[in-house]
Amino acid sequence: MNKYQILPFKFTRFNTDTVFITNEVGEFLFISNEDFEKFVSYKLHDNNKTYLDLKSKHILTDSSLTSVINMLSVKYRTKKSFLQNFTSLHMVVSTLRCNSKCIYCQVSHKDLCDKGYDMDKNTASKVVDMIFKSPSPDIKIEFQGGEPLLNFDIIKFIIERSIKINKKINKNLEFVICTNLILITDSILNYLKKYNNVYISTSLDGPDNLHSNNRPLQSGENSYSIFIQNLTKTRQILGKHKVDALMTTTGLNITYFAEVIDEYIRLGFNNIFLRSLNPYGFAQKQREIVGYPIEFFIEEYKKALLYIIELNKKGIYFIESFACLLLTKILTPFPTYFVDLQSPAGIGISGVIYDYNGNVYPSDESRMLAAMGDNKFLLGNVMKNSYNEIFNGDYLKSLIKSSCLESLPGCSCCAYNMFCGADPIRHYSEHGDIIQNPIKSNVCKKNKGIISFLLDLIRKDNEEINNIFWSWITRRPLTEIKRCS
Amino acid sequence: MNIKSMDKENVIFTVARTLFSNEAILDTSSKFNHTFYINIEPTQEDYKICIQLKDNTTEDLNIIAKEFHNELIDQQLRIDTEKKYSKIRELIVKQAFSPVENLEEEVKKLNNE
Repeated sequence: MNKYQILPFKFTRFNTDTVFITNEVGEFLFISNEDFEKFVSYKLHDNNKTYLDLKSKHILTDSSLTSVINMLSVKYRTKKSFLQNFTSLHMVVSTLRCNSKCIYCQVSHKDLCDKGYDMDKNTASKVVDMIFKSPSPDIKIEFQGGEPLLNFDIIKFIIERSIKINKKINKNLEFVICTNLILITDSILNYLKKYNNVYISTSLDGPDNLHSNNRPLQSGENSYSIFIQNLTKTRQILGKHKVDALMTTTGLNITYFAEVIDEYIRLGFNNIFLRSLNPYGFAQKQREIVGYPIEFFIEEYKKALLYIIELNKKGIYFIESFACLLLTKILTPFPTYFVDLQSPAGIGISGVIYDYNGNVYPSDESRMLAAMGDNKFLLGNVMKNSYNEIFNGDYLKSLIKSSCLESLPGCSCCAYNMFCGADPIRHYSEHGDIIQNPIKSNVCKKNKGIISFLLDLIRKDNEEINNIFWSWITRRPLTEIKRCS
Repeated sequence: MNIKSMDKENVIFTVARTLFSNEAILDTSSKFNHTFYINIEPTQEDYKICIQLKDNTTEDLNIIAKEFHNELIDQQLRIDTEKKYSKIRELIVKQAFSPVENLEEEVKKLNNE
């Protein structure tokens, strides 16, 4: 009779001396090779510190198995609570036309004067009706393009119709306009100001030379100077907290992360999401110019993260958003609701996109594939299909079934799978198969590389870095965290 | 692990079939086959494994064989522990989403297995 019961666990050799071991809900420990060997052969003594640590992390138990299963099931339910409410993020493409010609454009945009690529009122009306059929109590409608402001009338129509419908059902309703800010005017801003639930998500790829080279305008004007002017105006009218920015890493700015971060801080942003390039749209065609090996991105990312940590040590509160999402998954019992780090994937069940013509896709990436001529992930059309056909259809269910890391080859036994996520559309785009091949997958390489780096920082248990991580997770100033620790 | 032969491009070794399952051998091979050509020949008592360098690569095949073997041990351990504890995992997941009617009874069944 063994004196303890081993509970389900996963492990990986973290380095030559240490094993990283985690349970079903992502509670983890670093233990020595020697203790690991004793643990799996039931030779670990109950006065050993590792024994007690493994017990407290529910990786072994020497008491009632029923109560441990109960406790782990509650934690598991909490970790997977993103499944509770169904689709909350609804992306709407108001137009495919664009005034930019970004070198990495991921949506195969149309030119300013192209015709037939704007959403019309009839389609928009059906889109709004479908959005409000979602059972989720939280509805975020995100306008995308092209440049969505080129069809601002439809944005207004959707906002007004949504607010009208929502008066009866009272969901938590938010709108986000993803815009390059070039076309934003006082009149648009004053209209948006009437609503307290409209936010702006813009793009900033670095200081003038990097931003303008990554994101040139079709008109030939300097995109950076207009961006700066309109960012100031937008913040003045809507409020600083209503505007956030995203950056995209290309071959032009990948070696300048410090300069990009400095620019974000100079402009008053308190976070940056160091995003690697997606292999969609023009990015795939122009990979040689704008692309880079994922291994290079990981190395530059690590340097940038250490740079940001140093800035925080100096008193500058600044978050790297991807690290923050992963740290939340690693260090807290809660999910992040970030669709790219979910298992099952967030496709359709957390986020969905309605194209200008009413076509419905389970993610922005699948819409990009469709723009390149591959309609594999089309779920239906708001003009032809019912909510039930689109969201409760066999096709979406089969995609979701293929996106549970817990049952995917290579992922099911990965010690990092509770921190990671599945992205079948990305896998299809990279390898022609919705099932991930971890050996070939850039997503796997990136996530594993960054998770390992963060775990190593956590393992070193540096108080200052720990406090910085907690200040990011809890969105509180470092001084406040230090007082609590 | 018993190294049978090694030259600049190939290493051939055997591992005991009594210690390792087909699944462990295949899982491990899949982690190496993007960098090397892997050939597996099961015999009565052993698996004969040949690892061959792909074009234009230089690796110490002695180390690669040892890494393969270490990974094989870990992979077998994962398979063995999964067999032993997967029912506990299933109960955790079941209980999380649709509470098991009589959890105590289900646990007793596990303990009796």
